[in-house]
Amino acid sequence: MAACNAQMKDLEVIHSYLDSQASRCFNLLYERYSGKVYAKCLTLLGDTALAEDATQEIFTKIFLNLARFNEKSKFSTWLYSITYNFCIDYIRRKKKEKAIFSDEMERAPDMVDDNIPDKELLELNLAQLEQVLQSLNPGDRAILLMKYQDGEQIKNIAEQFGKSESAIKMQIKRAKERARKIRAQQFPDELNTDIYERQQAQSLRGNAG
Amino acid sequence: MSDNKPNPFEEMQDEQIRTFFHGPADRKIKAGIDGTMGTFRFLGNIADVYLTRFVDTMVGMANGVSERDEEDTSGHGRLPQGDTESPNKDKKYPNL
Repeated sequence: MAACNAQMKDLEVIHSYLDSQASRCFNLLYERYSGKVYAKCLTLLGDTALAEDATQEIFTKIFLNLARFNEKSKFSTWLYSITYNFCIDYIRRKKKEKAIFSDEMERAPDMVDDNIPDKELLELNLAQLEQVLQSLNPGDRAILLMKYQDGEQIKNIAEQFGKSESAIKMQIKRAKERARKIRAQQFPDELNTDIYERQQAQSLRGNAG
Repeated sequence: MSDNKPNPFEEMQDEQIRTFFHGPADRKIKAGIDGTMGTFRFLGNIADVYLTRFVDTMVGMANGVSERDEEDTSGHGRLPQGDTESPNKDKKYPNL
């Protein structure tokens, strides 16, 4: 088996590692993904020391369980789902909360009308986004990262959390509502330029006309 | 134009990754993982070398014959037949 090199795709690197146990192969996976795993841990846990410990534990888990990767999804999707679950479990243990997602997810109707435009979140600047995310609960944070940072489809997010698609849509909608409220509280000056309000006003004017 | 504005979620991630690779966190985590991997490999090697011997010893103590012993007595590790002829024909002390 050829030694691992930077041109190899993730799956080739994994197969090579499983065949040869060469640390170069594992190092390659670490170099590719450690930054992203750390970034997610930092956003979810909100503390650099915790994020470092979590990243180390996650990669140790990956090292021990790489043979269990069944290749049904991309390696990155599998790795990120381990990351999200690890961080959420950590927060759950720390806060002794049984459910990280609210009960409303279970009662989600089949059709969820998400009337909050993505622009509301995507127009925040970096500092605002960090503050808004830290004020949300971990479940909301994870789900927003999956959707807006990883670009995951609702179907994939639902599979990762073992929930229905409508439950995930409901969770995203609720997370966006909560983010909007927090934004309004923390950045009241922004209210004057609230895109959603402007759009609502425009559509009302359009209907009246 | 807001449409050209980069996604702040991705910007935030890029910034966090930059901080990660420029600070001590990367090296610290890597060293920790290498240490853990080294420990697991060491334990694996120990198990490989000694566990089989330990099992054989236990089997021997129980007056059984382990698979390895059977393999040994079935010709493994012996000299070729042609070389086993000893010039000593004394049946009472064949090893002399």
